Amino acid sequence: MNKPAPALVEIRGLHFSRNGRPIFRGVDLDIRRGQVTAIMGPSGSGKTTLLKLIGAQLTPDAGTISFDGEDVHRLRRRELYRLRKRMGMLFQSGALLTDLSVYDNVAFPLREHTRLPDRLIRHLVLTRLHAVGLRGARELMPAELSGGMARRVALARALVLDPMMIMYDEPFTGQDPISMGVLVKLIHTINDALGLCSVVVSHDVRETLSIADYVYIISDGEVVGQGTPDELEDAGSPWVEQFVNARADGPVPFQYPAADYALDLFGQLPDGGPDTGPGAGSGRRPGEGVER
Amino acid sequence: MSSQHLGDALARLGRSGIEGCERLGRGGLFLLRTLAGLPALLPRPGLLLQQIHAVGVLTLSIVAVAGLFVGMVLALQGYYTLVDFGAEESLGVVVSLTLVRELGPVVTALLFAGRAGSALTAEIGLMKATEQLAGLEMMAVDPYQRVFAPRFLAGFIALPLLAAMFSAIGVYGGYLVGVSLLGVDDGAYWSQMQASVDFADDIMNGVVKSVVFGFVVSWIAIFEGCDCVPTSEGVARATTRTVVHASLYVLGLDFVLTALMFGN
Repeated sequence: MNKPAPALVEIRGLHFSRNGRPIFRGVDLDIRRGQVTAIMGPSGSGKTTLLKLIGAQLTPDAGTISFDGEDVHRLRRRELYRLRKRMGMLFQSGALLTDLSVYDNVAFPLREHTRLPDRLIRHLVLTRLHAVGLRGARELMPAELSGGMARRVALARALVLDPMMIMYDEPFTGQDPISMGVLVKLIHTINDALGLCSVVVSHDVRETLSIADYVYIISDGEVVGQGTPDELEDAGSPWVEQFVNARADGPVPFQYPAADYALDLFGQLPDGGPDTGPGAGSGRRPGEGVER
Repeated sequence: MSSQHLGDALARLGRSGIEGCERLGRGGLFLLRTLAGLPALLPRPGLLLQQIHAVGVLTLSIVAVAGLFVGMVLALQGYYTLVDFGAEESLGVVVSLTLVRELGPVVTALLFAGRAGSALTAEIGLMKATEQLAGLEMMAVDPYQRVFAPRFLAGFIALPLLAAMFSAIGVYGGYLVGVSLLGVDDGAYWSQMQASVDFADDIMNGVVKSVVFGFVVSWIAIFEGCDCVPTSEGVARATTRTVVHASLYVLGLDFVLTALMFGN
């Protein structure tokens, strides 16, 4: 059996809560060098939060996250910025700077961090834009791009500093089938060709499993399943089974916690009962998570 | 039951007090980090010039129009009061002192809060809501150096210059109405102004006021944008807060500064 690749990111005993609600309760996971690691889970399970914790945009309540041997939450600001130059992140919204053109957005990290001549910057930018199929869109402004195009520009920007790792937050959402296929292939090709480490957070089960070397499934603040895509298919875990096969019934509830449906629709509970207002009995604050 | 309500009211009051102190602390830390980011602008003056254009040059037209009308109104009001005492030749003094000491810095700061301050808050709030600030952080670019410091310094520089323009155009507006329309003597308008307006006591005190207002309005506008809830409603609330808070701070500080500068 092959020895597993060394971990670039090691997460140990991660606890994190927001507004008193626990998001992670003792998560341990490794993101290995040279691999595409997928993090999957139902909505609200904290997948994007995990990426922000790895990038030290959020601080955990307990536990450690180390990147290339350095605890990201113990670094000083200057050291953290040095480390972030080796991480690329593709935000769900693209996070392009709206006052800069596509070309300038991709050139932005180079202009901020290097003193390369314009000619070389142009070369680097155009090769990245060509890789994501948008070399011809270099003059457009972000407002003129579709959501999918914006994400591809953001991918070109994330690649331009040649990072060790790229974190993709929902890269396939809003892509048309052609772009989706190209993007799936692109993530895989970039990872292999550049020897990167990729972390893909996604809901798109089939696309993600097709490129992932290793998968973690997170639910209810814990890792409920992990393994290669083949191992997951055979794991027999009800969590994994439900998620991978997109089943409505299973350990992950579709409904947000709420009072009894019939009582909610047709009547009140007896005096002193929990059904006395919006969100009552659901463990949420009034108005939170309620359709308006 | 009433003691319960009293307890709740006290708890709410206490909570709002704690939140106010917390916010003040956040604002103070934000200001310190922004000021610490200013040296990073030295090798990149282009960033500052771009922002001076956005907050200063683009505000110039409304400041000029407002200054002209305020000067014209001052001349009208001043003339009808002074003429009863046969002192209409002092119109230049009345118009210039009112503009230089008070209305120039104050009205310019209010216009600046409404035009440039709200734009700064909305811009930064939207950058936060669309994850542009988080994106900068992840690209190892410090938003305090790249986004907040140039905008803060631009506001700080632009407001005193705009206030000077407001006063100058206001004095000319007063001239148009007083001399050209109402027949005040041309020479008296300018010479009395020249004789009575003191550079150190009047003009410099007005400059100090506009510098203080520039500092406060820029700080409030940028902090509100950075501290907003990153939703469309949050950005709208922050923009409103900028205009309201900045205006109230300008008026309150104007009283304090006037008392310190011109009080005996």
